[in-house]
Amino acid sequence: MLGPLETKVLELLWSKERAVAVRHVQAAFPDLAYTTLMTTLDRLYRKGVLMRRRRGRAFVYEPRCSREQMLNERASSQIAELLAASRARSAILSTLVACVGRKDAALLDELDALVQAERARLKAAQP
Amino acid sequence: MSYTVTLSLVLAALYGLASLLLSLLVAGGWRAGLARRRSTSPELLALRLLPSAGAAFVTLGIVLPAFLSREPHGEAERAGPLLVALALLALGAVAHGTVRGWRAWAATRALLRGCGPAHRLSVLPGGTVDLVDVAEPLAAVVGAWRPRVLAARCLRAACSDEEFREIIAHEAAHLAAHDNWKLLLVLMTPDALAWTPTDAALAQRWRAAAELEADARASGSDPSKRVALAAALIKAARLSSSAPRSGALAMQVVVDDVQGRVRRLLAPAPAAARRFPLKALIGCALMIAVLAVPLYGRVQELVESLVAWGR
Repeated sequence: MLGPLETKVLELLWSKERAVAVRHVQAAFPDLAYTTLMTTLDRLYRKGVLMRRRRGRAFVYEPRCSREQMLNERASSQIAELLAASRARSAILSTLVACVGRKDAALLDELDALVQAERARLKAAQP
Repeated sequence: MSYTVTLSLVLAALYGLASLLLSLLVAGGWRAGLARRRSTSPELLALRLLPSAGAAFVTLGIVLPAFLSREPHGEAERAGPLLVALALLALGAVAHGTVRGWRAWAATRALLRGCGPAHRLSVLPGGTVDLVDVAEPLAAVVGAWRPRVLAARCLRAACSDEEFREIIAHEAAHLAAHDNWKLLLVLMTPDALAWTPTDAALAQRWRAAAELEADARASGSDPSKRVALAAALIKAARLSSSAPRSGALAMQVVVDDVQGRVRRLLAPAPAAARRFPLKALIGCALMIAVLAVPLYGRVQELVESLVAWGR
């Protein structure tokens, strides 16, 4: 989860199309202290939202992915978390497939072959 | 202790005692063989609700009228520790059920918020589905009060029109059966069974039976619909097991569940001929309530000894 200031800073970085340093961010938030923004950027970096690299004596930051990618990823991970926890927390949810357990690709292949065979049989039986 | 307080304590305590005994009966029966029996979802639901419904019947249908007709008004009485303990048990069960219901509601809201903006599609006559951008192959009825059918775009893209129509027909069958309301009821039922492993086992079996029945209602006796739904299930399972995800949140499909459903769709078993005897059960309950009238004196004696126990 991102806080309100983190979200605003991230929005700003998305609007820039290059990596920026803390002082560039501060220009957009003149009321906030330099150290506050530095801490916010560092927190976003530690959360995996931003990438950073050293330029001279300072770090420059840029978003790890686009806004759309991030929204998609966050929605998916939330849903993944909720579905995974659904047995414990039980959201009011009737899902098509229950999504916890172990996968077995070979078994799915076998089931797919059965479906294809049944499809072929039905097709052959049609006048 | 005033008459009203005594009455409230007696009702709570008798509810606690009856639900405890019925919970033990259900848990014992489940271990003894009910778990191995192939049951329909209404039967499993009835079994899960038996402790609380039975306790409510005993309390309101027998104890309450006996108390109102036999207990002298205005008589102060002191409650013994057993009565208080049983009343606390009932309150604990109610609180536990409420917390579980609230958690389910909160998780559902979080899920709906997490899905972001949706594109509404009309797939079946009278039924709409909200397409959402999520990596998981989600297809679900979400919510109880105003349930919505949600489906992931990736699932829509992976399935043919016919397969997707069958997925939505499956979800529509859940909607028509009010399965989410039943799930909420299972979660919120205030009884001691909720504190035993039988609760989770029964809920899981009920969910599995509800899925099979939704499959059967969605595809009916049309073999091409059955094949389309089976193919869609496999596609959803594959998407779920191949979607990229991060360690702790890893989820994979219960392939055994999918296997059972696909095999059932391809070789349908004859439909269960038995119908759940709800009317007969209600009739029996009413008859017991009437037959208990001459026993009110004995019931009140038992209540009195419970109130006085350990005092």
